[in-house]
Amino acid sequence: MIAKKNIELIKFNDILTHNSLEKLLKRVKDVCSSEGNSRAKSRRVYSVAVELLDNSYMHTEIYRFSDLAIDFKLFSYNDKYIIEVTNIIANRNIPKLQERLDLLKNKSKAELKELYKIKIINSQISDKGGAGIGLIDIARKSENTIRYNFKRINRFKSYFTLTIEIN
Amino acid sequence: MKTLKIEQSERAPEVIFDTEKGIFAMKYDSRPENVRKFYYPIIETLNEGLEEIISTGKSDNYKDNPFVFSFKLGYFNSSSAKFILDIMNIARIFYEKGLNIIVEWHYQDDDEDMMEAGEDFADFCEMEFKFIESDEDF
Repeated sequence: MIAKKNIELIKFNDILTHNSLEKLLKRVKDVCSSEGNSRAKSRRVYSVAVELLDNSYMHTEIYRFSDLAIDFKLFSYNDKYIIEVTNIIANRNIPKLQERLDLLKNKSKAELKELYKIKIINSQISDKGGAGIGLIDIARKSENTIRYNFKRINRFKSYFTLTIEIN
Repeated sequence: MKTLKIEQSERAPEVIFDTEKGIFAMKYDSRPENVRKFYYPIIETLNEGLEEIISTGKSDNYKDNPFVFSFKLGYFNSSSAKFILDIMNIARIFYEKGLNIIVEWHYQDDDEDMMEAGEDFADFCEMEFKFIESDEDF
Protein backbone atom coordinates (compact mmCIF):
# COMPACT_ATOMS: atom_id res chain seq x y z
CA MET A 1 0.00 0.00 0.00
CA ILE A 2 1.32 3.42 -0.95
CA ALA A 3 1.61 5.80 2.00
CA LYS A 4 -0.40 8.98 1.61
CA LYS A 5 1.60 12.13 1.85
CA ASN A 6 1.20 15.86 1.64
CA ILE A 7 2.18 17.51 -1.62
CA GLU A 8 3.60 20.95 -1.02
CA LEU A 9 2.03 23.40 -3.49
CA ILE A 10 3.18 26.73 -2.06
CA LYS A 11 5.80 27.63 0.49
CA PHE A 12 6.42 31.20 1.56
CA ASN A 13 8.81 32.22 4.30
CA ASP A 14 9.45 35.92 4.29
CA ILE A 15 8.33 39.26 5.64
CA LEU A 16 4.76 39.95 4.68
CA THR A 17 4.49 43.25 2.84
CA HIS A 18 1.58 44.61 0.85
CA ASN A 19 3.19 43.39 -2.39
CA SER A 20 4.23 39.96 -1.14
CA LEU A 21 0.78 39.44 0.38
CA GLU A 22 -0.98 40.20 -2.92
CA LYS A 23 1.45 38.01 -4.88
CA LEU A 24 1.02 35.13 -2.47
CA LEU A 25 -2.78 35.33 -2.61
CA LYS A 26 -2.68 35.40 -6.39
CA ARG A 27 -0.55 32.22 -6.32
CA VAL A 28 -3.09 30.55 -4.03
CA LYS A 29 -5.90 31.53 -6.42
CA ASP A 30 -3.98 30.32 -9.49
CA VAL A 31 -2.87 27.01 -7.95
CA CYS A 32 -6.37 26.11 -6.76
CA SER A 33 -8.10 27.01 -10.01
CA SER A 34 -5.50 25.12 -12.08
CA GLU A 35 -6.18 21.91 -10.16
CA GLY A 36 -9.66 21.42 -11.61
CA ASN A 37 -11.52 22.12 -8.39
CA SER A 38 -15.06 23.43 -8.25
CA ARG A 39 -15.32 27.20 -7.95
CA ALA A 40 -16.65 26.79 -4.43
CA LYS A 41 -13.68 24.71 -3.30
CA SER A 42 -11.11 27.05 -4.89
CA ARG A 43 -12.81 30.03 -3.27
CA ARG A 44 -12.93 28.24 0.09
CA VAL A 45 -9.15 27.77 0.04
CA TYR A 46 -8.66 31.36 -1.14
CA SER A 47 -11.00 32.71 1.57
CA VAL A 48 -9.16 30.90 4.34
CA ALA A 49 -5.80 32.09 2.97
CA VAL A 50 -7.02 35.71 2.82
CA GLU A 51 -8.35 35.67 6.37
CA LEU A 52 -5.16 34.11 7.72
CA LEU A 53 -2.73 36.27 5.78
CA ASP A 54 -4.58 39.56 6.20
CA ASN A 55 -4.69 38.78 9.90
CA SER A 56 -0.96 38.00 10.03
CA TYR A 57 -0.19 41.14 8.02
CA MET A 58 -2.22 43.25 10.42
CA HIS A 59 -0.65 41.71 13.51
CA THR A 60 2.94 41.82 12.38
CA GLU A 61 2.42 45.56 11.92
CA ILE A 62 0.96 45.90 15.38
CA TYR A 63 3.64 43.99 17.24
CA ARG A 64 6.62 45.56 15.45
CA PHE A 65 9.00 42.75 16.28
CA SER A 66 12.38 42.66 14.64
CA ASP A 67 11.48 39.32 13.08
CA LEU A 68 8.28 39.81 11.14
CA ALA A 69 8.58 36.87 8.77
CA ILE A 70 5.71 34.46 8.47
CA ASP A 71 5.74 30.89 7.30
CA PHE A 72 2.89 29.95 4.97
CA LYS A 73 2.42 26.54 3.38
CA LEU A 74 -0.29 25.15 1.17
CA PHE A 75 -0.42 21.37 0.77
CA SER A 76 -2.72 19.05 -1.05
CA TYR A 77 -3.58 15.74 0.57
CA ASN A 78 -5.81 13.49 -1.52
CA ASP A 79 -8.86 15.67 -2.20
CA LYS A 80 -8.13 18.03 0.67
CA TYR A 81 -6.04 21.16 1.01
CA ILE A 82 -4.07 22.00 4.12
CA ILE A 83 -2.97 25.52 4.99
CA GLU A 84 -0.39 26.01 7.71
CA VAL A 85 0.61 29.48 8.86
CA THR A 86 3.14 30.33 11.54
CA ASN A 87 3.81 33.80 12.84
CA ILE A 88 5.13 35.37 15.98
CA ILE A 89 2.82 36.72 18.63
CA ALA A 90 3.32 38.43 21.97
CA ASN A 91 2.91 36.07 24.91
CA ARG A 92 0.60 38.54 26.61
CA ASN A 93 -1.91 38.04 23.76
CA ILE A 94 -1.95 34.23 23.92
CA PRO A 95 -4.69 33.75 26.57
CA LYS A 96 -7.21 35.89 24.68
CA LEU A 97 -6.44 34.21 21.35
CA GLN A 98 -6.57 30.75 22.90
CA GLU A 99 -9.93 31.57 24.44
CA ARG A 100 -11.30 32.63 21.02
CA LEU A 101 -9.98 29.44 19.41
CA ASP A 102 -11.30 27.19 22.17
CA LEU A 103 -14.74 28.76 21.84
CA LEU A 104 -14.97 27.24 18.37
CA LYS A 105 -13.95 23.74 19.45
CA ASN A 106 -16.54 21.00 18.84
CA LYS A 107 -19.08 23.50 17.53
CA SER A 108 -21.50 22.10 14.96
CA LYS A 109 -22.25 23.81 11.65
CA ALA A 110 -25.47 25.28 13.08
CA GLU A 111 -23.73 26.49 16.25
CA LEU A 112 -21.00 28.17 14.18
CA LYS A 113 -23.65 29.90 12.07
CA GLU A 114 -25.36 31.18 15.22
CA LEU A 115 -22.04 32.41 16.64
CA TYR A 116 -21.25 34.11 13.30
CA LYS A 117 -24.69 35.77 13.35
CA ILE A 118 -24.21 37.13 16.88
CA LYS A 119 -20.74 38.47 16.01
CA ILE A 120 -21.65 40.03 12.68
CA ILE A 121 -24.67 41.81 14.14
CA ASN A 122 -23.05 43.03 17.34
CA SER A 123 -19.35 43.57 16.64
CA GLN A 124 -17.51 46.80 15.94
CA ILE A 125 -14.88 47.02 13.23
CA SER A 126 -11.60 48.88 13.49
CA ASP A 127 -10.00 50.71 10.53
CA LYS A 128 -8.18 47.53 9.53
CA GLY A 129 -11.09 45.21 10.08
CA GLY A 130 -10.76 42.60 12.76
CA ALA A 131 -14.25 42.24 14.13
CA GLY A 132 -13.47 38.78 15.49
CA ILE A 133 -15.50 37.24 12.69
CA GLY A 134 -12.49 35.94 10.75
CA LEU A 135 -11.78 32.87 12.88
CA ILE A 136 -15.45 31.87 12.92
CA ASP A 137 -15.53 32.29 9.14
CA ILE A 138 -12.47 30.04 8.80
CA ALA A 139 -14.08 27.45 11.09
CA ARG A 140 -17.24 27.48 8.94
CA LYS A 141 -15.35 27.17 5.66
CA SER A 142 -13.11 24.39 6.94
CA GLU A 143 -15.87 22.45 8.69
CA ASN A 144 -14.17 23.26 11.96
CA THR A 145 -10.80 21.59 11.32
CA ILE A 146 -8.73 24.34 12.96
CA ARG A 147 -5.71 23.10 14.89
CA TYR A 148 -3.31 25.40 16.67
CA ASN A 149 -0.03 25.36 18.51
CA PHE A 150 2.02 27.86 20.51
CA LYS A 151 5.79 27.37 20.80
CA ARG A 152 7.54 29.62 23.24
CA ILE A 153 10.55 31.58 21.94
CA ASN A 154 11.27 33.57 25.10
CA ARG A 155 9.30 35.22 27.87
CA PHE A 156 8.01 37.91 25.49
CA LYS A 157 7.03 36.07 22.33
CA SER A 158 6.04 32.72 20.83
CA TYR A 159 5.49 31.06 17.49
CA PHE A 160 1.81 30.61 16.76
CA THR A 161 0.84 27.98 14.18
CA LEU A 162 -2.62 27.49 12.71
CA THR A 163 -3.37 24.44 10.59
CA ILE A 164 -6.59 24.30 8.60
CA GLU A 165 -7.98 21.52 6.39
CA ILE A 166 -10.30 22.38 3.53
CA ASN A 167 -12.42 19.79 1.76
CA MET B 1 -30.89 62.66 -7.39
CA LYS B 2 -27.96 60.80 -5.84
CA THR B 3 -25.33 58.87 -7.72
CA LEU B 4 -22.16 57.10 -6.74
CA LYS B 5 -19.67 55.19 -8.84
CA ILE B 6 -16.58 53.47 -7.48
CA GLU B 7 -14.37 51.63 -9.94
CA GLN B 8 -13.18 48.13 -9.13
CA SER B 9 -9.65 48.06 -7.66
CA GLU B 10 -7.22 45.34 -6.61
CA ARG B 11 -8.93 44.87 -3.25
CA ALA B 12 -12.23 46.70 -3.51
CA PRO B 13 -15.42 46.04 -5.47
CA GLU B 14 -17.14 48.14 -8.09
CA VAL B 15 -20.03 50.04 -6.51
CA ILE B 16 -22.82 51.80 -8.39
CA PHE B 17 -25.68 53.74 -6.84
CA ASP B 18 -28.17 55.70 -8.90
CA THR B 19 -31.50 56.79 -7.48
CA GLU B 20 -32.79 57.85 -10.91
CA LYS B 21 -32.19 54.36 -12.33
CA GLY B 22 -33.21 52.68 -9.08
CA ILE B 23 -30.08 50.64 -8.60
CA PHE B 24 -27.47 49.89 -5.96
CA ALA B 25 -24.94 47.35 -7.24
CA MET B 26 -21.78 45.75 -5.87
CA LYS B 27 -19.59 43.56 -8.03
CA TYR B 28 -16.32 41.55 -7.76
CA ASP B 29 -14.14 40.99 -4.66
CA SER B 30 -14.28 42.96 -1.43
CA ARG B 31 -11.33 43.10 0.95
CA PRO B 32 -10.51 46.82 1.17
CA GLU B 33 -7.34 47.83 2.99
CA ASN B 34 -9.33 50.15 5.25
CA VAL B 35 -12.77 48.67 5.40
CA ARG B 36 -14.40 51.52 7.36
CA LYS B 37 -12.97 54.20 5.10
CA PHE B 38 -14.33 52.32 2.08
CA TYR B 39 -17.82 51.49 3.34
CA TYR B 40 -18.79 54.47 5.53
CA PRO B 41 -19.21 56.96 2.64
CA ILE B 42 -21.16 54.36 0.64
CA ILE B 43 -23.54 53.76 3.54
CA GLU B 44 -23.95 57.50 4.10
CA THR B 45 -24.72 58.23 0.44
CA LEU B 46 -27.09 55.27 0.28
CA ASN B 47 -29.03 56.45 3.34
CA GLU B 48 -29.24 60.02 2.03
CA GLY B 49 -30.33 58.93 -1.45
CA LEU B 50 -33.06 56.58 -0.24
CA GLU B 51 -34.26 59.10 2.35
CA GLU B 52 -34.55 61.68 -0.45
CA ILE B 53 -36.80 59.32 -2.44
CA ILE B 54 -39.09 58.88 0.56
CA SER B 55 -39.13 62.55 1.63
CA THR B 56 -39.85 63.84 -1.89
CA GLY B 57 -42.68 61.36 -2.34
CA LYS B 58 -40.98 59.59 -5.24
CA SER B 59 -41.32 56.07 -3.84
CA ASP B 60 -44.37 55.54 -6.11
CA ASN B 61 -41.98 55.62 -9.10
CA TYR B 62 -40.73 52.18 -8.00
CA LYS B 63 -44.12 50.52 -7.54
CA ASP B 64 -43.96 48.68 -10.87
CA ASN B 65 -40.17 48.56 -11.31
CA PRO B 66 -38.59 47.98 -7.91
CA PHE B 67 -35.41 49.62 -6.69
CA VAL B 68 -32.80 46.87 -7.15
CA PHE B 69 -29.99 46.03 -4.75
CA SER B 70 -27.72 43.75 -6.79
CA PHE B 71 -24.84 41.78 -5.30
CA LYS B 72 -22.42 39.97 -7.64
CA LEU B 73 -19.58 39.17 -5.31
CA GLY B 74 -16.74 36.82 -6.14
CA TYR B 75 -15.23 36.98 -2.69
CA PHE B 76 -15.69 39.12 0.43
CA ASN B 77 -13.68 39.01 3.62
CA SER B 78 -15.15 38.81 7.09
CA SER B 79 -14.81 42.55 7.76
CA SER B 80 -16.62 43.39 4.52
CA ALA B 81 -19.39 40.98 5.50
CA LYS B 82 -20.29 43.21 8.43
CA PHE B 83 -20.74 46.23 6.11
CA ILE B 84 -22.53 44.25 3.41
CA LEU B 85 -25.02 43.25 6.09
CA ASP B 86 -25.35 46.93 7.10
CA ILE B 87 -26.22 47.77 3.47
CA MET B 88 -28.83 45.00 3.40
CA ASN B 89 -30.30 46.28 6.65
CA ILE B 90 -30.67 49.69 5.00
CA ALA B 91 -32.54 47.96 2.15
CA ARG B 92 -34.89 46.35 4.69
CA ILE B 93 -35.45 49.59 6.64
CA PHE B 94 -36.43 51.51 3.49
CA TYR B 95 -38.54 48.60 2.27
CA GLU B 96 -40.42 48.83 5.56
CA LYS B 97 -40.78 52.59 5.00
CA GLY B 98 -42.68 51.82 1.80
CA LEU B 99 -40.03 51.82 -0.92
CA ASN B 100 -40.42 48.83 -3.24
CA ILE B 101 -36.94 47.23 -2.97
CA ILE B 102 -35.74 43.89 -4.22
CA VAL B 103 -32.40 42.34 -3.20
CA GLU B 104 -30.81 40.20 -5.89
CA TRP B 105 -28.05 37.85 -4.79
CA HIS B 106 -26.09 36.49 -7.75
CA TYR B 107 -23.83 33.46 -7.48
CA GLN B 108 -21.83 31.55 -10.02
CA ASP B 109 -23.21 28.21 -11.10
CA ASP B 110 -20.80 25.92 -9.19
CA ASP B 111 -20.36 28.13 -6.14
CA GLU B 112 -22.80 26.75 -3.59
CA ASP B 113 -20.87 28.50 -0.77
CA MET B 114 -21.69 31.91 -2.24
CA MET B 115 -25.34 30.92 -2.53
CA GLU B 116 -25.32 29.86 1.14
CA ALA B 117 -23.64 33.15 2.09
CA GLY B 118 -26.57 34.95 0.46
CA GLU B 119 -29.05 32.76 2.34
CA ASP B 120 -27.25 33.67 5.59
CA PHE B 121 -27.47 37.39 4.80
CA ALA B 122 -31.19 37.07 3.99
CA ASP B 123 -31.67 35.27 7.30
CA PHE B 124 -29.61 37.81 9.29
CA CYS B 125 -31.37 40.89 7.87
CA GLU B 126 -34.78 39.18 7.83
CA MET B 127 -35.61 39.94 4.22
CA GLU B 128 -36.53 37.82 1.21
CA PHE B 129 -33.84 37.80 -1.51
CA LYS B 130 -34.05 36.81 -5.13
CA PHE B 131 -31.30 34.26 -5.84
CA ILE B 132 -29.88 34.26 -9.35
CA GLU B 133 -27.51 31.61 -10.71
CA SER B 134 -25.12 33.18 -13.18
CA ASP B 135 -22.51 32.08 -15.72
CA GLU B 136 -21.03 35.58 -15.69
CA ASP B 137 -17.49 35.89 -14.28
CA PHE B 138 -17.28 38.15 -11.22
